[in-house]
Amino acid sequence: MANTNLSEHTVSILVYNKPGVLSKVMSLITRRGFNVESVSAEKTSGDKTRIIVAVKADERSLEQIQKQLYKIVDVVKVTPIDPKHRIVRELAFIKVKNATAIPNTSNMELFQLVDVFDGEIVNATPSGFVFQVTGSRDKINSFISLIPETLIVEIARTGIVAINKWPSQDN
Amino acid sequence: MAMKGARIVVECLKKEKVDTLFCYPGGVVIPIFDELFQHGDGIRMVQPRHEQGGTHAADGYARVTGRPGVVLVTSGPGATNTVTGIATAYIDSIPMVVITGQVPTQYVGTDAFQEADITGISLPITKENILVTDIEDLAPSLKRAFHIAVSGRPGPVLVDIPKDVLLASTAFEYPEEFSLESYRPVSKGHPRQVAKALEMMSQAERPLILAGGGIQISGSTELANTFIDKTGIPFVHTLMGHGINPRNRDLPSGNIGMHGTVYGNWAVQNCDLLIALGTRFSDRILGDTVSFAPRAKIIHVDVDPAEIGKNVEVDVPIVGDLRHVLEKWIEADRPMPDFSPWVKAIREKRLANPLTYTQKEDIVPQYVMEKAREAFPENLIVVTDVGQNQMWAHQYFDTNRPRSFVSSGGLGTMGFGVPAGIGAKLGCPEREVLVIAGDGGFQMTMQELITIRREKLPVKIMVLDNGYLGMVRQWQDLFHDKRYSGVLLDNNPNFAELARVLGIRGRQVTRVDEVAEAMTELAQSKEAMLLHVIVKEEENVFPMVAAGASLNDTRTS
Ligand SMILES: Cc1ncc(C[n+]2csc(CCOP(=O)(O)OP(=O)(O)O)c2C)c(N)n1
Ligand SMILES: [Mg+2]
Repeated sequence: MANTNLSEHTVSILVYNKPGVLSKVMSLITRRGFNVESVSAEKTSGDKTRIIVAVKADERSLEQIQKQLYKIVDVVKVTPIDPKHRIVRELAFIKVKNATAIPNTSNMELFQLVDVFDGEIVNATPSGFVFQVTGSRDKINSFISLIPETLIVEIARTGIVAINKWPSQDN
Repeated sequence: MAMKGARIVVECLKKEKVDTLFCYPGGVVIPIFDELFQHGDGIRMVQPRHEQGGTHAADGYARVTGRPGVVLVTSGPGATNTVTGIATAYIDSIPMVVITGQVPTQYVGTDAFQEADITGISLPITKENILVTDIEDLAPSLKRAFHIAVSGRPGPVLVDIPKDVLLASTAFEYPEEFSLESYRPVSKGHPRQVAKALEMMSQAERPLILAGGGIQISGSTELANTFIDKTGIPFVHTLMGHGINPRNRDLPSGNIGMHGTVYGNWAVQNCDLLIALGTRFSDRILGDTVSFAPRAKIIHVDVDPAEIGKNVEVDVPIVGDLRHVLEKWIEADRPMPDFSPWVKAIREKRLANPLTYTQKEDIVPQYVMEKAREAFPENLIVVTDVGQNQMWAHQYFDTNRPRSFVSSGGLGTMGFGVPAGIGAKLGCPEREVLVIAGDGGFQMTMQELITIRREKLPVKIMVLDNGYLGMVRQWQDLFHDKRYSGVLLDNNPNFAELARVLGIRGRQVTRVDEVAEAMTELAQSKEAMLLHVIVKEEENVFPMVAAGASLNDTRTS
């Protein structure tokens, strides 16, 4: 299928919490030629798990992927997340070296950055720090891009969680 | 009363009324074989020579009966040997239940002896697969497997059972019902869409039905025939769609696609409404997607929502069981306009473009097909292998009954023919079964001749020996300046003699004037027989549409 107009879509997939179901979902998505940008999964209630996947796809293949997902016996519901009407969050930890180790940088600048991005310093030692930021993927990406690359030791990100908002009252 | 897992497996098979089990033993499944030995009454155990053969046989059984084919194999190599057979069944939507033994639970993941992650391996080629880790889940898992294999769009399901589960005990209870919040195949087509489709038919000038494999799978051949008779809409079919037979033989039919008829492909390109029933619009049917059926609006009925809009854009999608949709269409009793000018146009195309061949000194396969069709009874089941032989069988046997043309369509699996023929004969013992294979594909599973002998199955086999991997050679001929690389089969034995060594009647045919008489011998033989026909080396299958080319460019030479 022609890969025109690729954009990032988020799909929320409710599945029975059965062994192998996550690999079934992921294998299906990648096998059908979609690039997975992010994935998160957590048991939600009772015997079910919610998997949230962000993929790059055009509208038509997005529809295909939803139909294909329903072919997995343990998939209960597939809900596309409306990009205009959603709440999305991701959490990231960024482990950085103490900035005094490198010329022309200071820890103060780093702390200001954390402040601007509503982040937290969750671990601080003479060798370095661990920052925590939450928000959209874009926000986290730009936070990371503003930290000098040489200072970054490790990054851990959750992948996005997303949910559709209640329909708005006024329209 | 507590029952061992191995016994539970056998009891579940009985509950599912399994009468034939294609099984091959090994370490971890010995407990099941042990129970079959003692309690397997009513279940015929058929032991193939290779698990691939067993799986194709189960597939053949399922294709002719509509009931799931059941396979039992051991872990590791036993399980991996079934992979080709499972993939073949999956892509053609054939119901199958494959039970594999697995190493004991505590060894899973340790690279234990004969451990293979078969649920991982079979993930993309099964409709569902289950690793049973708890004896309490065993009977429910088998129930689930049988239910899923046959419902909705059918397909193979694999159940992997570790040895310790087979040895554990619990009370046996087979669930009556199977219900899940998630798995809900659609049965009824949406009434508005069903009505809209009919409305469009009544306004069309040149409607055309495209019959796919879904018609026979859903058991709606008779309904489709009635609908065709009633409306006078002409039809074409795919490789999987053999078996449609309107009583009005004047109504042109024909197969379409890469080796479709000229008039079939012409009809698709010129219709103004294409009514696609139970087909997945494979690339072998479409050719070039953009120029496919350029003048037509498309109605697509399929039980699998994912097939609709996958390969072609559709104007009226109908997700539902074909049976239901056809019933509604017939009930509506909608008057249709006179399509006879359109039917006449197709008929003229047909008359102007018959299938042709030239029979000179060397026997040509098309001639063999014609003689076979004359010699065998009308209710014959044709089972093909893959390659040129398959395409000629497809063209020359316009089978007029459902579940009577057995062929690996989607995967194109060489070696399918002989074992699938075994399954077909076991499924329909009263009917004549003719396997048509090429010299290449035949050699992939020819050890199953021994199974035919052992099970005393009067299967008839015709090997068309052109000394080449003919279909590949044809592509090299047409598209690679005859650079016949890697396709020569120049050490073929005398297959008739080989058959005799294995205890099967065999005859070799080399001259044109023997063909008809040899074919009669084959058809009338009371026992299994193999006919080894030496055919012309470089005969090509026509019509042909090059891969990805438009159906407009159907070449005849
Ligand atoms: C298992 C497998 N391997 C390879 C192929 C590719 N292939 C398709 S047709 C063909 C040639 C088949 O030759 P033969 O069985 O002699 O039949 P013929 O075309 O000559 O009638 C080959 C190699 C295949 N379809 N299946
Ligand atoms: Mg050949």
